Amino acid sequence: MISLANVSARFTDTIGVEGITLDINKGEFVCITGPTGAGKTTILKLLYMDIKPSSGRVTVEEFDSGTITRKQIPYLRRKVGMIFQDFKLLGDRNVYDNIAFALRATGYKRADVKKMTARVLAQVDLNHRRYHFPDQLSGGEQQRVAIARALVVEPYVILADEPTGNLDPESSNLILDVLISIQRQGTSVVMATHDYHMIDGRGFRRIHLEDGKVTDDSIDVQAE
Amino acid sequence: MSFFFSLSEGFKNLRRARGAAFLAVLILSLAITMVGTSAVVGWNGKKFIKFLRSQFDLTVFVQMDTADEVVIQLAKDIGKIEGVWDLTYISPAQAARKFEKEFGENVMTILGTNPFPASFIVRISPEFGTAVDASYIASRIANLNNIEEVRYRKSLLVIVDKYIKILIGIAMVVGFIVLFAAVLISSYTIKLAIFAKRDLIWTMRLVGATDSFIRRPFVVEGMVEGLLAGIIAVGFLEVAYKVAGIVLRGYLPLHRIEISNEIYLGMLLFGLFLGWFSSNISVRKYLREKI
Repeated sequence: MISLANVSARFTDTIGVEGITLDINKGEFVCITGPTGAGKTTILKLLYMDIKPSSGRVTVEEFDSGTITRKQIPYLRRKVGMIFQDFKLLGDRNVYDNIAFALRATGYKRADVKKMTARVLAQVDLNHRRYHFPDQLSGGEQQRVAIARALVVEPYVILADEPTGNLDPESSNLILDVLISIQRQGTSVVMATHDYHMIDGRGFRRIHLEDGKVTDDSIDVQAE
Repeated sequence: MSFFFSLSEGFKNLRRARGAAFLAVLILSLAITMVGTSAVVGWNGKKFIKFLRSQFDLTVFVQMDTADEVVIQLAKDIGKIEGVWDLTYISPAQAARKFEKEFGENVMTILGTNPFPASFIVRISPEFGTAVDASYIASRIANLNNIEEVRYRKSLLVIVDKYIKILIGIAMVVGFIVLFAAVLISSYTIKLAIFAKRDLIWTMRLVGATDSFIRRPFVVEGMVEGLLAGIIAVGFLEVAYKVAGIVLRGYLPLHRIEISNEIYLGMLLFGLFLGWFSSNISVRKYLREKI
């Protein structure tokens, strides 16, 4: 369960979000929409506790922004997989090592690393690219590596910040399909996007933001 | 797994950022060479002071006509005093022969009797070679029975003490500055190397690595760089010493300057410490600045 209770995040000279209250259930696919500067990224940052709310409370499973300590944040992040518009892959490691790195850096055993990485590579259909480096892959493939890295630790939720922002429509749809398949396997997905056409008619829950406030929270009608 | 991960990541970091690692090793080796040079100067300075102090002695004159067995007992008593290194007995006859050797006159022929008393040349341990200690030892000897007089060059000792104090003060200040500069330079160098790997740190945080887990590969890398820098600095100092020995032969008594194995070992250990300390502090600081 993810919840934001009357959450505001204010920065030195701007307001990120104000008075946000919402709940996200396990296995839900939520799109956060809105123009640039509406507060989409701020909500994601609040969820992976890169920033703390100025007021209100953010809860992700057993982690509460009001009580979480600095030392507990890594453990929260193991339950929250993150994907970014610019992929943020390590350019000096191949696909396999980029994904395995997430497991090695969190202390998994060598045998488990091998098994789990192979499984997630198959899930995003990149087994044939496992020894390629990021600069040898297309944008869509790089984003699939980023998804695999976020997914490999079996998180509770995937947070995707404009994951298709750098991709062509075909690759964008492919990425969206991968995210949908992840959600169907029980992992919640929260995706910030301003590409309304891509998500139209998919039956997602859509939370629309304007100037840091929720102006709409509804389920999109699924196209036949 | 975590230990091997830290080790392998540490070595991979070195390989991946060869340029930054090379620069860090080079700067660290210069810093360690500076510290090593200071240690060589300090070590040899200390040796010289010890030599100076070991040259110091007291002359103890025994009262005239003291019986031989009393003189033997006096030698034993003086030898027991803390700070006395060794003592040499000079009999009245030996003193007369010495006088004749130095002045070409036989004192017995001139005076008809030997006026020289028995005496001891007492050498003091270098650790007790200060004016205060010498004065204390002299007064303890003077308080023994049958001692006529104790003589030593007190004023010379006071001057030596004064200059040694000044030199030690200067050496400590210079040593501290060199040490501080070495730590500062290495911290900044390693900080730059860490900054160059901010993507790696960011990714580690993103996937939920703990701060201590993130720190370890950088500490391994820092220690390897420090050790390499130590080895280079040892080689550099040895070569510089050999070259200086050839170039300055005849001008400076460089053969008297010793670079002990302890200094080389100290430089290697200092390199390790510098790498460990600088990387630890720099990563901690970097991680503290970000959530």
